[in-house]
Amino acid sequence: MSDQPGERLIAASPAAWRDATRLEAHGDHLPAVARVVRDQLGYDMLTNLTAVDDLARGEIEVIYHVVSLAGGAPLAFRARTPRDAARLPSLVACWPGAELQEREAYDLFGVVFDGHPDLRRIYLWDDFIGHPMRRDFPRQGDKYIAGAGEE
Amino acid sequence: MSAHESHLLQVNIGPQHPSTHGVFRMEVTLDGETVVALRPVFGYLHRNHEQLAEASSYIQTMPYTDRLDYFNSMTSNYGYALAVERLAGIDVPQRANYIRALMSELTRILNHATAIGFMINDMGAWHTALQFGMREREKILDLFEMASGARMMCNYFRFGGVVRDLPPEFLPYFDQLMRGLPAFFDEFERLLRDNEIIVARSSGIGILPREVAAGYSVTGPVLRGSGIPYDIRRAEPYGIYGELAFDIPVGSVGDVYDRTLVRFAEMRQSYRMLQQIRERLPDTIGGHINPAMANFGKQKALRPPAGEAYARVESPKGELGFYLVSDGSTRPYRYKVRAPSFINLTPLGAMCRGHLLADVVVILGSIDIVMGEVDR
Repeated sequence: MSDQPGERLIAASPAAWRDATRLEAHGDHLPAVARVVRDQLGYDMLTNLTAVDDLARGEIEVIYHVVSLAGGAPLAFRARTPRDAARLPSLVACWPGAELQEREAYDLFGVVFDGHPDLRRIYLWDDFIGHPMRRDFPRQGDKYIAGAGEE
Repeated sequence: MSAHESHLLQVNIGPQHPSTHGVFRMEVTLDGETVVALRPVFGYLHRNHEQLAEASSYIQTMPYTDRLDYFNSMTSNYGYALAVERLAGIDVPQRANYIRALMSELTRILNHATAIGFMINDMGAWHTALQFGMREREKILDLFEMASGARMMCNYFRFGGVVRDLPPEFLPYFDQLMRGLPAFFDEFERLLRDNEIIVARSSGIGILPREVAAGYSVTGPVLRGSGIPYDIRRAEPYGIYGELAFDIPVGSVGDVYDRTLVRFAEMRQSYRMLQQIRERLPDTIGGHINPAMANFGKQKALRPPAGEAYARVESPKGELGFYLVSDGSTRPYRYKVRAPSFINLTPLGAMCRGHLLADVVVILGSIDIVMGEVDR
């Protein structure tokens, strides 16, 4: 992202989800991009936040789907972070609705959201090891499967 | 007061508590009977639904989506079918779209009728009001059983349409139901809407102001109760919703009472849409499913081209979204459910702060959650 992320964003506004331009924000610029998307482009609701484990590239991609309640085309933007040190700035300050969704992405994918007010596991218990939605998480034979490690 | 020091008290409501609508826990900090802080605790029903879907072929996930919002399996099916159809570029015949909308609006009526009933349960009117909603719900489930063979886990949708056309006995029973619905709405509203106790227990409680509602990503009756006329059937029409006439009811204050009134009004709007669908259904063209997808082997062997799609429907609880990434194989590379019940809980703590403990269960009831979808 350049110093004027707004101009590039406006040019990239998609007509529909299906054709969403692959608009990527550098992790460091994510809060600034989010503010431009919210304040200048008018996308007042972050409707969906999710992660995709891109095993081939060794990265985790976080996707943000935003809509404007006044109408108009929805927008998707995304940010990438390395799998072995997955870390992105939190967008809770911009959209409070990100709170539970970032916790979910942390729990299942292991993405640490810096600045999140309460980043804890949400579905799994606190001493669970690993992040089960990562593509290389063992689907069987791990220590949580019944029988393993029990007397 | 002077001799007594005030202590904050920590109380767990749930996970096994009748008001939590399933296994859900709230850690409440109380000052006397007033809520100082509330933290929702999730995960008791977590089964990693998304990973199950990524380990299954596309059509194998269809019956799993029934178990998300088990009250509204038809709309869960719809959202998933829509996402896969966008990903794979499958067309849906007109008749199938009409059948889909018909099932969705019946689902909305049954959901709202029981959601209002359950909320009034939580106020202490034990099961009397709920039985009115349940009575209508049973009739709608009879219709679902005729069409799909199952009352709750319908598994009725297929990519490109629905699994089978409406049976001959469906429409006569549907017409009979439709004749009775206006009287049910009137009776149900007369029983509850102006009831002094219900008004006292719900107005001014759990206010979610219009200015903050969008920021919290809430959708459905919770968002509309706060006065924002946002409905995906209007904002991003899918199926035949662009052709149907309906209004979007909204609240003014954003309290529990407004959310309840929105649900009452939405049932009448669904009835209006059902009338239009019923009128046009005999003249619809195309079958119940796209002929190219009618063979179940085609459904099983589906390999959408590499790419991604996000599709969302207006489920009775809010925006139900499915995000899919395909790598060209028979299984999705990424499958994500954007569950309205889950995200609508984001402002729960803020909505409960300052209210009495007894109001917490009412506020939770007014959000209308189902744990199958919250915990996935």
